[in-house]
Amino acid sequence: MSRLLRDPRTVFGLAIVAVVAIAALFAPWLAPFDPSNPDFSAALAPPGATNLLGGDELGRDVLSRIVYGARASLLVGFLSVAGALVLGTALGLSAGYFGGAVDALVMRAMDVLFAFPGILLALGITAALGPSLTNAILAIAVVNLPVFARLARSQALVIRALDFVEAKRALGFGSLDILVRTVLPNAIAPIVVQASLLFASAIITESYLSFLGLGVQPPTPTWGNMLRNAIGFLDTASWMAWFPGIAIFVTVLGFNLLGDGLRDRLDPRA
Amino acid sequence: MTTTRRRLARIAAAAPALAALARLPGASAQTPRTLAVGIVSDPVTLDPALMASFFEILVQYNVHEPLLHLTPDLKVEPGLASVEIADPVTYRFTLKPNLKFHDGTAIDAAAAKANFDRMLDAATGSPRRGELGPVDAVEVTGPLAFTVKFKAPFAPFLQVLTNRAGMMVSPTALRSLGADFATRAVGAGPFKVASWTKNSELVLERFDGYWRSGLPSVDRVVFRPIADETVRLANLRSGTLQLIDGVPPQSVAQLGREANVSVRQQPGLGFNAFSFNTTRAPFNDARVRRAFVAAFDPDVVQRVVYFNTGAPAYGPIPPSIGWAHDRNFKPSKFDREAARRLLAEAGQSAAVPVTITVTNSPLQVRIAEILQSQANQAGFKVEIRQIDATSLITVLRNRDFDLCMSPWSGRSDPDGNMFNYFTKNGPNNFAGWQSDTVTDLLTKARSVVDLAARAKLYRAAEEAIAAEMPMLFVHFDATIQASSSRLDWTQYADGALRLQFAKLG
Amino acid sequence: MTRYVAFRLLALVPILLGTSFVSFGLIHLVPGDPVVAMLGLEADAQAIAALRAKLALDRPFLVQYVAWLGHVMTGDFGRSIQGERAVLPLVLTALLPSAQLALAALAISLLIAIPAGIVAARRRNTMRDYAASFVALCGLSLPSFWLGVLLILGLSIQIPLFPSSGYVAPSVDPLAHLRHLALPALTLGAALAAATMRMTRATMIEVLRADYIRTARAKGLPERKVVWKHALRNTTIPLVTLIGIQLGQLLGGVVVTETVFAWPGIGKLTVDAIFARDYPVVQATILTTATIFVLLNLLTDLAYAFLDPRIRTA
Repeated sequence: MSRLLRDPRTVFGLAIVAVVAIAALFAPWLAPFDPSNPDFSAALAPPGATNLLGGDELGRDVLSRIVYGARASLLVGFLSVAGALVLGTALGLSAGYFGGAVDALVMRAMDVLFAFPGILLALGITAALGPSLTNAILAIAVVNLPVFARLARSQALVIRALDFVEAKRALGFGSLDILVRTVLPNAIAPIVVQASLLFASAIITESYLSFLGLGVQPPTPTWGNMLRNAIGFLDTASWMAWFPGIAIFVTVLGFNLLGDGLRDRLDPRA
Repeated sequence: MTTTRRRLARIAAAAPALAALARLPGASAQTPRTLAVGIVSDPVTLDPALMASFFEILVQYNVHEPLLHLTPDLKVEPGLASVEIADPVTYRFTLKPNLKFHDGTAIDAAAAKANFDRMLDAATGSPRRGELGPVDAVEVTGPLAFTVKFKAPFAPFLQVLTNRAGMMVSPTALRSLGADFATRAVGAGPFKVASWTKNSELVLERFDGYWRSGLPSVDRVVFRPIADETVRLANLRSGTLQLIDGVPPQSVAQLGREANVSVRQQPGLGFNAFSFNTTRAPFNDARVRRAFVAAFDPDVVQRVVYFNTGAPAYGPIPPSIGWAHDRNFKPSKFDREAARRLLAEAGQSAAVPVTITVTNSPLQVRIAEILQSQANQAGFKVEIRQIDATSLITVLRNRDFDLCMSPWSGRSDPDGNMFNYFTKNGPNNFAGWQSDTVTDLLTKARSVVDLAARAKLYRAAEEAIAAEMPMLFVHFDATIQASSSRLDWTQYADGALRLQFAKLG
Repeated sequence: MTRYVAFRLLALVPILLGTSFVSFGLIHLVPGDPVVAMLGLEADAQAIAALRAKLALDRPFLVQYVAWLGHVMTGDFGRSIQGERAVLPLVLTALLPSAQLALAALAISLLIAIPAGIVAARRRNTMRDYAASFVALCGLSLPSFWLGVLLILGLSIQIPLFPSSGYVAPSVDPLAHLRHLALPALTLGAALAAATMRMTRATMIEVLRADYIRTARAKGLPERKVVWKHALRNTTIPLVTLIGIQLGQLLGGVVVTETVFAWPGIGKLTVDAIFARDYPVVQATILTTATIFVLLNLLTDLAYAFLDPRIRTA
């Protein structure tokens, strides 16, 4: 753990992630204004004393919206990746461990999903199911499913061939037991690293979906839909476009730094 | 390292060339007098009989020519034909001589009749059928003359003929092109269709046989659909486009200060309004509807969303239709207390849950957010539901909403703004409002020819509508378009582009 | 080798079938009726029913899918619901701008990423490495649609250097084509460059650690030769694989970039068609994109097998 913290990347990454998480968790206490409350006199107000980061087109405080926006981003990032991780790992480990028909079926299904450019698949799913937070989570989880499945499968293939696993099988341990107690703990490291990197891309995908109007509904702020609103005011109120973009950028950077640091320490292959 | 440095040196050497590339002026293929126009969306079809969305409005008058021409102040002038009103149910048309369609077919009475027959035939499924009113017969009375007879007087007829219903297309082309006619349309307008690459560009070329001799002065028009308003604007500023439609209201002030572009706005013909669902709770009670309207302050929308372009709306007839519009008509007032009282009267003690449905247009979402914030302070509990643009019509038709946006692009006659919306079971009566009074008034107003009498009927209709508020009127949008300062062109209230009159300086 | 290729090609078929079925299902799930949308607020119920029957949209879902499949076998991709244009030429016309964008972006990214990756690998754990790696990470963390917007703001609005959207075919005006290509290619290229640089660096580091490199150095070969002649050649194999992985990102990136810059490629066509519920176009574009992606992956694998003799004999 302490070795982990010696790497400046991990420290920075952790710091950024911590700040964002705190913003998300304690938003009602941290935000100076109600993010959904329009104040028409402050419409398009530039950054100043009352509105530190300015006001948006309806006079809502940009800073408060950015703080609350962290909630949607983190929620979507976490739940979609967690969902993909759990289901994908289960599928991949089973495919790798059992082989045969299970492997063929699961991996062909994953191939089909993988053949779509991720953005299009997410777009199609949210368009089909309707724009909402839950559907965005679902869509991004489905997009990331094949990644975890493939990773878990290749891990399972390697571990299955190891001696002590063979031994356990010879001793009569059940498959499920072996999978959960032996294969999983040994496979988990690269999966976790992948998760932290996918977290970052999940946040970007969610912001792109919101940017297209397919994400969280108004007036709930997300960084993506704040950018969407800002586009129309690029020449009159450019701060609206800067701050949400910076928020996405910094958050994603934090997760990438963390992921990099984790990978260098946890994944022996690097 | 030496290798890297060498590489960098090579790139540095190329830099002036790259810079030269960037500094070169001009945009697309340099043909003399090409006008590049940025529009919001690709037209769906170029067949005037089947046009049913407002995307075609910008393009249609350049490919097609209507029988009658609409002036910028909404007066009717002869176009391909001149008309004589023999009696309230008989209109005699005389086509100009020696006119041809783009493919050389003669524009004669037989061709005109063929066009009318096609539009009136139920099998074609043309929206023009309803627009043309109670036509009894179209008769050819000479090589260039034909008569349209009505079953009952239909006052909006001439205005309708200045739009899609009056656009004549070549019957020869209809037969030979079949389904491809929608994309190659052969009409009688100032420009011919040269090519159409969907989502990229629609290229029109000058038609030498256009009836207004000497026009058009532009050789080529290229329409580029660019959905994003910021991108359209950027292209205008950079000179890639010389004319754009759909300038966002928030950019008007800034554009006014720029030397190489000029922005123009005019009161439009349409209205931006929301329909209440009067067929189910909570808006089946007129008091709840009036409460919602009283909670709303249209001046906020006018200022914050529209940046003082256009005007707040209180009814369906816009100021541009001068003879029918009543400037002093203000049936509702922003009054939160009155709203609460009305809700109490209607027996609503708790916050009334309402869902506002809008498409994901940023402007509409902003309006919905303002409505939400204001209504929430007057005893409602509002949620916003965003749907995709193509779902809007389904939602409206299935009445799957509490309050839903239903903007209308507008017509030059009040009948075009009201009949379909407020008559019982009218095709645009999404509110589901059934009023015999208004239906009678509007039906009568179509068949009365005297302008003053019609105005009185429409005023009465607006009062009746205001009493029950089946729709929440928000704004009369101005038509805001911008061009390069070198372009000399005419703007019309209906927002349509008639580029035969444009000159590139 | 031929058997391997044939086998892989055959395996494509069920994948593409599956993909087309999923996309067919998805687009039909989407609420909103394209016919109603097309005919607009003014059409009457009769006209809608007539058009729906004409476009065969009133038949059950599976029947429609099988019918579509049957037509595709004969090369008929149907007509677009909007404006009734033939779908296949529509899709093929859109492929060219996308290919131009993708190649330009790939070129930019390789031009930046490979030298940067090599420098970072060779100067590992020095300031230059940290700086380059950090910049790459930043590039990776930048949402590309935001980068596109910022580039438009900076290099098109505030300093009018490049047009912010649109397309001119190179055959019409090559200079204008390049000017319109600049910003989208930069946007897409930047994102790619970041990822490629990191991978180049990682691969290069591993290669430079290898024994044969130590031998070459021990033999007294100049560093330049060590890097360019020996190390780079051996980096090509994993790099090819990595570029193959990048292709997935490239296709996704093309979608985002094309929508921001209104670049008339296959990405924009797909997104517009999804929003317009234009089923035949969506089907055709997704099938095309998936086919391209899967074929490119196959090509990468084959290149890999070709370059690495160890795999061939396996």
